[in-house]
Parts: sequence; C-alpha cells; structure tokens
Amino acid sequence: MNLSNTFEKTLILGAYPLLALTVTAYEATAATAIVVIAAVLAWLTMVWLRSVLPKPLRWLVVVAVSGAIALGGGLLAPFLFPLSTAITTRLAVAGITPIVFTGCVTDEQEAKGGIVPTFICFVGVMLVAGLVREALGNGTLFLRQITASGTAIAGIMGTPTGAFLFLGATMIVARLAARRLVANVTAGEAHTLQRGNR
Amino acid sequence: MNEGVQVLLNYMLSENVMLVSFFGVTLLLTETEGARAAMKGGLIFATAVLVSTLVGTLLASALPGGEVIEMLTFLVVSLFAVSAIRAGGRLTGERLGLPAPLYAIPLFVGSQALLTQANLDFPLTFAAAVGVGLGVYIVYVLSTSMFEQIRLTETQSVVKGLPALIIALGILGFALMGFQLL
Repeated sequence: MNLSNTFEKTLILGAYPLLALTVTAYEATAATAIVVIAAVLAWLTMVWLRSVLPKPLRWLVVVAVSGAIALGGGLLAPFLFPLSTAITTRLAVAGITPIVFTGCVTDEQEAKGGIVPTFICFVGVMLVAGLVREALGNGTLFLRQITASGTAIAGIMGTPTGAFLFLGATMIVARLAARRLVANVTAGEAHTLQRGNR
Repeated sequence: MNEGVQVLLNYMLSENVMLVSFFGVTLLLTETEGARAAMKGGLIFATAVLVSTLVGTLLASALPGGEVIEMLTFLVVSLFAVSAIRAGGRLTGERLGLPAPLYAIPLFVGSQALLTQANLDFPLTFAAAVGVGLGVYIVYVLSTSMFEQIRLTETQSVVKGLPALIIALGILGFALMGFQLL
C-alpha cells in the first residue's frame, strides 16, 4: 500500500475536524475521541445492517446513528474537557464527516487494508495539529502557559488560515518523505543488484 | 448600514461556511470539476444550501424539544437537499471510495446549526441564509478555478494539486475575514 496516498486520503476525509477542531489540544482530543467512537459504531451498525436493509437505507441509518453519537459526545465533552458549550455543534458535525464512514465501504478487502492505517494517521495528525496550533497560536499547551511573558506568538495559527497552512504543510512534508523513502529504496535495490553482478 | 445587509455580508464573508466554519471543506477538496462547470454546479449547491438552511432553521425553531430534535431535523433536511442535488445529476458516484453525498452532508447540517445558534428573527434569518448561499457560491467557483489553474501550472510535484489549493484556500479565507490579524 502507498503510505503517502493513505496519508493524503486521511487528510482529505478528515479535513473538517482537522481544520475546525484543532485550535487547542483539548479540542483536538475531544474531536478525535468522538470521531473514532462514531466510526467504530458506524462500522458495527453497517455490518449488522448488511443483511437486513438495502444499501441506500443502510447509509441513512448509519448517518443517523453517527450523528446521534456525535451529538451525545458533543454534549458530554464540555463536562470532560475544559471546552465551551458552543463547541457542541461543531463536535456533532465532526461525527458525520466522511472519515467516520471509512469502515463502512462495501468492499471488505479495501476496508481491512485501509481502515487501520487511516485511523492511526488520523489520530496522530489530529493530536499533533492540536498541540502545534495551540503552542504556536496561543503560547500554551493544554491551556498551560509555555512561553515567557512578552514572547511574540504566531496568532495566525489559531485562525482558520493557520489551520489551512498546517494542513497544506503536512501534505507537502508527507509527499517529501514519501519521495525520499522511494529514492532510498531504489538506491538500496540498485546497490544490491550491483553487488550481485560483481 | 442596514442590519439585514450587515448579517448577509457577515455570513457571506467573515462567517463563511466553507472557509471559516469549514462545514463545506471536504466538498471543496473533492469536487474538482472545471471552472466553467463550477459556475452551474456552484449555483445548484448554493441554492440547495440557501433553501435547506432556511427550512431547517425555521423547522428547528418551530418544533418543541432540545438539541436532539434539532439535530434530527437538520439531518432529515440535509438528506432531502442531497437527494435533490443527486436528482439534478450532481453528487453521483464515489469519491475516495465513499458515496459522494457523504461529503456534502456536513455542509448542510453545519449551515443549519450555525443559523439556529445565532437565534435571529425571520427577516434576518432569511438575510443570513442568502449570505450563506452566496458565500458557498463564491468560494466554490473560486476554489475550482484555482484548482484548474494549479493543474495547468508547471511546479514541483510535491506542491502541485491539493497542497497548493489548500494553502491558496487559507489565504482566501484570510481575505474573507478581512485580514483580521494584520
């Protein structure tokens, strides 16, 4: 499997929570938890309904179930994390974004090969995004000050533009890393062939 | 300035549902038709968003019950809106292995939730819904035009395509918010 493609696909499917819910690390943690729980329950619902309902109805039920779970999570989150109640709606919408339904695809083989790496990538990027955006945009980590008073912060990282810049930069870094990996593997194979010929 | 116009401009620009609230961002990243086709496609999406936002917000304020009933109303209205778009020949097939309508649902649900939270009276709700629709249209057409231009431009393969589009969208979002940090 092409890791760069999986990573890029994850970033696109999870673009909404990645951009809208990573201003602080707490926000990112809550959103990640809701998306993962909604995804697992959506997958289980889809598996359960596979022999019961026709395809369009299955999707309707799965979307409704994910929405309900995300809304429940959104209502609960302000009690578990230091978040404002205004975030409930955004967390609820995170539960019906495409990443949640990755496991519900009809092709079993694709689901098995793609779902675990997709969610590992998603959880990692969400948490890193939350930490980086909070540290650079607010000068705090989990709402604790980490910069000395008077230190200039990059306030733009806390804005929607900062979210887009982070996402774009992550995609570029992933492509560069994949390119370097391919170059290293090719060089290694050429070296092995050369030694074999000698 | 008239209050209605102010609300309209607010929801079209600084509260844009595509680039500031991000509800429609997955749709933007996956619907990459050409700029010419986007003029018509954008109109369909914008009209659907306008109508569903208005209907969903009014239904949510009329129905008794709490957030659960509201969310259910938004979902039902969104599914109707997506079905209408599909009937018009858009949002068909799959994107990245998932049915295309799944990418539009957050936009419809989010727009309705945003306006319901604002708790405006009917004339202002109407102005806000028009602002949301206009914002969707402008950003959709600009985004697809930018993506078409990026595809035609010679540049490094690591930047070409989505990374360039995402950074460009970030700058566009900054402009819509009136360069607030500067």
